[in-house]
Amino acid sequence: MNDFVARVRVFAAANSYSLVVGGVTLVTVVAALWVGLPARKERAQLDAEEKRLEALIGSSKSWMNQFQPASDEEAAVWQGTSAEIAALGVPPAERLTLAQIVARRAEDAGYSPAHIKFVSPPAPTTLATRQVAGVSFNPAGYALQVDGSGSLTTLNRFIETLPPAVALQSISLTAAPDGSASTSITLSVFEPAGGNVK
Amino acid sequence: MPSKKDEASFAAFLEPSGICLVEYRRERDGIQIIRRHSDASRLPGLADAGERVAELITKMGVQQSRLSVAVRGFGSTYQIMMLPPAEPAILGPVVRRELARLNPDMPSPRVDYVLGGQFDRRRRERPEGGTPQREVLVGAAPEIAVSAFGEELALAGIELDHLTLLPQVLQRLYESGNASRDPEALFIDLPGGPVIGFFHESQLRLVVEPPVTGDDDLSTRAQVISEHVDRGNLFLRQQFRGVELSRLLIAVKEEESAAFLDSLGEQLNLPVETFPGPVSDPGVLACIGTVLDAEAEKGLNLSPFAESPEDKKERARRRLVTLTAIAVSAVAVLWAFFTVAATLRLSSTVEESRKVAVERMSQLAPLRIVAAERQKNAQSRTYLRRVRAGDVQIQGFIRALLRATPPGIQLTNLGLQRSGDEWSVTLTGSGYGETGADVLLAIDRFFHAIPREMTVHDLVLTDLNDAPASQFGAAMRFTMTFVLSAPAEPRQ
Repeated sequence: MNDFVARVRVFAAANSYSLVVGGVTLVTVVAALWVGLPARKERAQLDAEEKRLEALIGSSKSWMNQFQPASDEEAAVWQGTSAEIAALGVPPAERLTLAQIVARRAEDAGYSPAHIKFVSPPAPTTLATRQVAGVSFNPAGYALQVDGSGSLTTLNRFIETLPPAVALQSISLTAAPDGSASTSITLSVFEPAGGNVK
Repeated sequence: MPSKKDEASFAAFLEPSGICLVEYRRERDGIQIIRRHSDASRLPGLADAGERVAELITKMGVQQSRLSVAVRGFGSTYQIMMLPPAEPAILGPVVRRELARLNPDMPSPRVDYVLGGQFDRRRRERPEGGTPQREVLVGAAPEIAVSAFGEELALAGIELDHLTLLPQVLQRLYESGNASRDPEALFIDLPGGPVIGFFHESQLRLVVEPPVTGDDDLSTRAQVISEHVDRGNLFLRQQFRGVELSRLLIAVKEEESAAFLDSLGEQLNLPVETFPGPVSDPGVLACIGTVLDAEAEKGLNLSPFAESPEDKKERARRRLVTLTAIAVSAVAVLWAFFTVAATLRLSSTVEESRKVAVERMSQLAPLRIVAAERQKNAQSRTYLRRVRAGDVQIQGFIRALLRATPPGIQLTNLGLQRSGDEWSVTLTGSGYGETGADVLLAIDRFFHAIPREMTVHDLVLTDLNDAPASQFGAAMRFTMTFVLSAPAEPRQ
């Protein structure tokens, strides 16, 4: 160990100038790296951001050039769509109105007589919540059952006129001896969820 | 500060009997002597010589000057050694030790040496592959004396460039003159006494300073010179495999030249010629030899301001280390600088882009509302179509069922039950025909028509039984189940 230390001392004494200059150089290089490496990393990040911003500016420019302002007709379409969306559910207080509308349309379709009654809703797993444009409609705690006598054509017409707040849940047709069919249709009903309830 | 061009250049030959000083200018094709000065006053030591030279130069009215000096005597000594080739770091200490051994009375000598050519005295080949020894001309002078000399000059603002010894001057003069590889001798009749150099293969091999003075008559001096030339010839013959002097070159005062040529020519059995060149004064010739040695890449330099080979090597090494360090540091610093500068530049550009982007975004904000409303409307329309698609699917199913039902099939029961996006269908009916085969054919057609008319899977005939016969002949009841697949996703 002492021999090693002595050799180191001799080496240091013989090369003191080179060691000092080397030390200064090393400090300079380390300082340069200490400054340069973070700067290089920062530059890489800035480079990526610049490319992103250039793309953003370019796309915004073309977007602005291609953009067509909304016309009055388009605004009316939006309004109509909003109304249709609102009709996807019926508030609980209007269940009788809904039942009346459904019964009327069943009769109009050809079910004579059309009987309607409130029944228990189907299992919750069979129906998904309606969610669109920030509005949610949950399955109501009741369902409508429409009974009547009519053909498949009658059923087709009735389905055509169903209000959007209801959804077909089940259909049962049993042929009667007179050629007609005893039909029973269960309709799920949707109600606006939470704050949507009016 | 005067430039180096404004400096006057001087060369001097110093010996105890006096000084020969010349001012010269280096020309492209030689050395031009501007003026010369001789001082035959006796000099007790180098310090006095320095003072005298300084006085002479100062009297010439020169402000800045550089001086090269050749010295003879004043305690200086020289030795021609044969040493194995070695690095200066090894050779230097060996030379110093050898010189101290040969001159034990010289206190702290200032030593320098020059390497001559290799010379192999062996006649046999060297099977071991060794290299022949090398001639080394070693010169030394007391450190105190040369330092005092240098200080006297420095006080007068004279820069002592070079301080060499007479043998090295002989070598330079011989090289610059008509140097031959044949053995030759050069005799210079200097004011302080003659000196004869013996050369072989262009290298100085022996220096002789015959003990004659200018007071002796010319014939006596020529006799002494002749004897010493003979001895020198004997030395060369013994040392270098029997070589013989081929020529004697002489440099004497112009007025004595012819007499010397005649006298020496008679006494020596070899050609005697005047040393080539325009200079006829031996002292000036010595000064020119001094200049040549000062200008040489490696001269014999005992100047107290001269660097030793080790110092020179160390200085060169330090210079290399310093330059390398500067280069590395400069590269590192420049890299860091340019990296930072580029980053700052890019940062400024990005900042500008950010401002533009923010401005664009603020312009786009109202447009975004419209775009968001359009997107919302499109999504709503799609959703409404999907909601409606369920009902449309059932309507399509009913129409398809009517199309798929062939003659002879009467449906008695139809049940549809929603199961997620699909519908489980149970279908019961009866088939009629004249024979059982007709009935089965009708049921089979119905069974195969269902998947053709609608998208279903898991179609299974779960029940098939005979039914009470009717007016048609044969009848069978059947039950089928299948799953009506979910409607296709409506297009945007």
